Formats: sequence, C-alpha cells, structure tokens
Amino acid sequence: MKPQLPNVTRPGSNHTGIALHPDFAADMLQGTEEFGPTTRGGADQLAENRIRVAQISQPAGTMPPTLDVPIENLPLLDKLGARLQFERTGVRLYQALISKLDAYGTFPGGPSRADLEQIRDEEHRHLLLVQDIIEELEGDPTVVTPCANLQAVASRGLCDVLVDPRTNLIECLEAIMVAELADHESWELLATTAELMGKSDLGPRLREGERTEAEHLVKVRNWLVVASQLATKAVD
Amino acid sequence: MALRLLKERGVPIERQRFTLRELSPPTISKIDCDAWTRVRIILMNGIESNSIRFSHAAARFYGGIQQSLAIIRRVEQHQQTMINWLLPADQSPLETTIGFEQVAIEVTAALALEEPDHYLAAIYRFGLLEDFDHMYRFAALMDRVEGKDANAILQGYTDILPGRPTSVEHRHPLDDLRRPYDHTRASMLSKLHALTLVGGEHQTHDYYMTIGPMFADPSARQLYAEIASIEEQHVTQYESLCDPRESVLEKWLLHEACEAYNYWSCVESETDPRIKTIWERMLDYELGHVHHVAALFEQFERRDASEIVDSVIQTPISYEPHREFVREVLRREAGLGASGHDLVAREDEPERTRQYRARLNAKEQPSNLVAAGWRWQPGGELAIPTGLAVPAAASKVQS
Repeated sequence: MKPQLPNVTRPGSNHTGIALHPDFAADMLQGTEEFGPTTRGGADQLAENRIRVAQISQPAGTMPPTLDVPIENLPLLDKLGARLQFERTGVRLYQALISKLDAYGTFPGGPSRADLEQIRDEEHRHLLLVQDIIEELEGDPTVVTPCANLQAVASRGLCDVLVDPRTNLIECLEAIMVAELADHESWELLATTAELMGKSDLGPRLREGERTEAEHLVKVRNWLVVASQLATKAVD
Repeated sequence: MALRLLKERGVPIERQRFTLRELSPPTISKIDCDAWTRVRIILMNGIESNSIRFSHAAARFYGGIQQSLAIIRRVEQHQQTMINWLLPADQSPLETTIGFEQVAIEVTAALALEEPDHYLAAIYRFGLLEDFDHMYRFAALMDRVEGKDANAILQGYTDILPGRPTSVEHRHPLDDLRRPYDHTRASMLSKLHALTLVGGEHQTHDYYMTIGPMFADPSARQLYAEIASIEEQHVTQYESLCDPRESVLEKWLLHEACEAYNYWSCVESETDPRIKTIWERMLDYELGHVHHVAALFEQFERRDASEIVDSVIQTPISYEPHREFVREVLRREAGLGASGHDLVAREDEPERTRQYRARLNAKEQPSNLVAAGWRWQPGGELAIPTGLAVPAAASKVQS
C-alpha cells in the first residue's frame, strides 16, 4: 500500500516558483523593460475577438429531430440527458476512486471500500432511473444532448485527476468533491425543472435522487475534513 | 460529373490566397454534424499533411524544384489548417480518435471495393480489419474510462466489433513491406488509392503520437502506444505499395492528383452547404496545383503529363456504410498474417514475426486489457442493470 500524504507534508523538488531563482527573476524583468510589447492595448482585445466570433458561430449542438417527442418535453430531456451522461461518467469515476483506495489504502476516518462501492452503485441506480424517465418521456437515452455535451466538457479534468496513476485517494476525493457539488446542484435543478413543467409524477423520483446526492456530498466533505486534519498533524 | 484532371484548370497558384481569419473558420458541431462530414474533414487533413510531408522530403533532395515546392507547400499548409480547424473543441481527443478509425474503416473499404488490382485490394482488406479492431478497442476504452458511447460519433454507420485482434497485428518490419505496383502499368486510380491510404494512416500515426501522452489513464496511454506502433506498420505497408521507381516529379504530380480526386469526392458527397463550399474552393486550388506540376513535369522530364494523369475519373470515393462488406471480410480474412510481400494464414507467418510479436506482447497487452469481456451496447455497458457486474478490465488482468 502506498502512503497518502508525503508529497504535501514535507519539502520536495518542485521547480515552478520564481523565488527559487531570484537572480533569474531580476534578469527576466530587466528583459521585459528592454523588449516591451509590440502591440498596443490589453486583454480586452481577446474579449472583443470572442464577441466577434460568437456573433458568427452556431450553437454547439441542438436536440435531435425526433418527431414523436412532445416539443414541451425537450428542455427536460436536455437536462435529463445531462444527468444520464454525468452518472455514467460518475460510475467510472467511482470505479477509479476505488482503484485509488486499493492502491493507496484509506486513512483514519476516511472511506472504506464498502462506502465507495455503495456510492458507485447508487450512481449506477441513478443512471438507470434517468434512463427509464427519458424513455417514459419518449426520448432516446443514447442521445448526447447539448447540456450533456457541455457538462462532459466541463468535467473533463475531473476524470483526468481520477485516472492518473500518480494521484492518491485524498487528491482524488477533492476532484470527486467538485463532481458531487455539481451533481447535487444539477439534480436539484432537474427536480425543480420537472415540477415547474407540471411533471408532478417525476418530482418525487428526482427528489429522491437529489437526496442521495446530498448524502454523497456530506460523506465526501467529511472525508476531506478528516484528511485535512491529518495533513495538518503530519506537518506538526 | 466526372473529374478531368488536365482539362479543368482550377485556380492559378498566384490567385490562391488566405487571410489568417480564414484559417480558423467556425467549426462544425460535434453532435449535430453528419458523421460523414467529420470523416471527410479528418481524411482531408491527412491528405494535405501527406502532401506537405512529401514536399519537404522532395525539397531536401531536389534543389531545382525547391521554389515551386515552397510556393505550393505554403498554400497546402493553409488548406490543411483551414480544414483541420473545422473540428470543434468539445470533440475530445478520444472522440476524434473514434473519428479517425471511422475514416480508416470506411475509406479503406470504399477503396478496396473500387480497386482494380486484386493484390492491392487484398492488402487494403488486410489493413481494414486491423483498423476495425482499433475502433473496437478505443470504443471500449471510451466506455470504461469516460462512460461514453462511441456510437455518438459513429452515428450507426460503422460497426463496433472486434476485428483481427490488435495484439496479433504486431509484425516484424520485413513482413510489413508489400510488393509495389508497377508504375508503368498500374492504373492511375490504383496509385491514387495507395496515396490516399498512406495519407490517412500517416496522420493517424502522428495524431496518436501527439495525443497519447495527454491521457492520464495508464491503460489509455498504453493503448495509444500500442496502436501507434501498428499505425507505423500501416504507413510502412501502404507506402511500400507505391512504386519507388517513380521520379520525384511523377510522385509530386500524383500527390496533387490525389488531393484533387479526394476533394472532388468530398464535393460530390458533402451535405453541409458551408463545408461543401470549402471543398469546392480546395478542389479548384488543387486543380491549379496539378497544372503547375504538370508543366514542371513536362519541362524537366520532357514527357507528356497525360502519361501520368491521363484518366478521367468517373467514380468518387463513396461515403456510405460498408457494414456487410466489412463483415464478410471479417469472416473470411481475420485469420490472415503476412510473410514478406504476401498475405498468408497466420500460422504460416515467419519466425521473425512470431518472435517479434511474442517479445512485444510479453509483459502486457493493452488492447486486450481495455476490452476484456466488452461488447458494444447502446449507451455503454452500464446502460443495462447488470452493467456493473462486468468485471473491470484492469482487475481481471492484474488478478
């Protein structure tokens, strides 16, 4: 089993800071005095360019041309598609997190394997739940909806942290925390959207999903608090 | 409408110009575009990069044509940029990889069906089954690491099934070299097919070599390393089909003809009006290149360019599913291997390849690891209630 914290509780060989080389810093700053910018203006020019390109750009994606789906269901199907994709990825993230536990072990007050397996299984149940609801609404659960696509882009880095063999359990719990925060908020929004659309039959099922996600959030937060205390003690 | 390479003049080189803004056009939509549009974009990026690669190599050997090479190469670099920049940022490297393999499968199948030379067609079918397997392995990786279904990229046009297993595709370099066509007798179409596949495979190799280290998952890194090695084999294979006795100007003329043939095929099949306009412009530019190089060929070689590009091309590359053809090839030819120039039953492969393969596979076989027990399922293997019961690839192999 590999140790959890040595990379942050004792000095290492990080080369990124300029303070390690004050002479270099002075030389480099002197260089910027002699060789200044070649173009007037500032970062606002990037903003102007973003606005210009936005004005000629099309949406990143749209909903499919399904003829059988009542058009009023489309916004909800977009959000459901996003939860479905997030839960699919979420199961994979927890599988990766379990590998971290197997490789690095846990820590006093940290998650057990059974804890993580339970969350993984709950994410899978959410996946199946959302899949069922999409089908009930006559949608296609294999569609990558616009919201699903954007959430996948937004969470791309989380997967990178989880599957990187060099990251330990605690570092990965921090990435999972970001995922759980986003997931909980999205379930809450999804339930609200369904209720606003008058889908009263969906409300309780989606609220149940939201409650489970709230439990995940609490668990991960508690593990991270304990990990933070451990790190402090290790330094002491 | 047929393509007549020497009759249609295109745009003269001096009028082939780009602004920097044009080099970065609005992108296609990853989720709204038809998969064939993405396939064409990826292939044409490869065709252009292959021409640029050839042009640089030629410039190192032939000082007399350096100026013309430099002028046309600059235009082609800008053409390549404009095309490659059509791909959107939300299309991840792994999703783009799925697109690359769809190109390799469908374009190779289309060319194998059109190829008049039986030996060349057999080689194309041989390579096809290997890229077909790569698709399966990458799709499994995508499902098991990211929880995504590769079919969102493929759109049902291409099967996701095991082909010739990647782990048995590793061969000694001497068993990747094939018998070249005879440039004095082969049809122009055969030459253009070979060049098209060299271009497609070379960019695939280079792409995997660039993005492979960007993956965090160890299985992903290992898989890209393994498949990049096979793509290098494929470049070696397809490149060796081109007759080395062709002169540099003959080869250059064929490269330009190949680009024109491919852009023309894109024009004929494109369904996105904005992208079609780009293909039409690029075709006109390539016809201009063909004429410039044909004039150089006639000046230096004192031969008529129509000896090389005399044909009228009647049939564009077909951008349509080849599901049944690929399955039939899979049933009949998955068990093939290679011995020197020839395709043989795998059990008849030379000892050098057996030893090479055994050594390479000795410690781990990433392509087997990522796809252990994996079968494509709409929405991924987690979409069924028992999805979690499938043993994870890593635990199965490590246990």
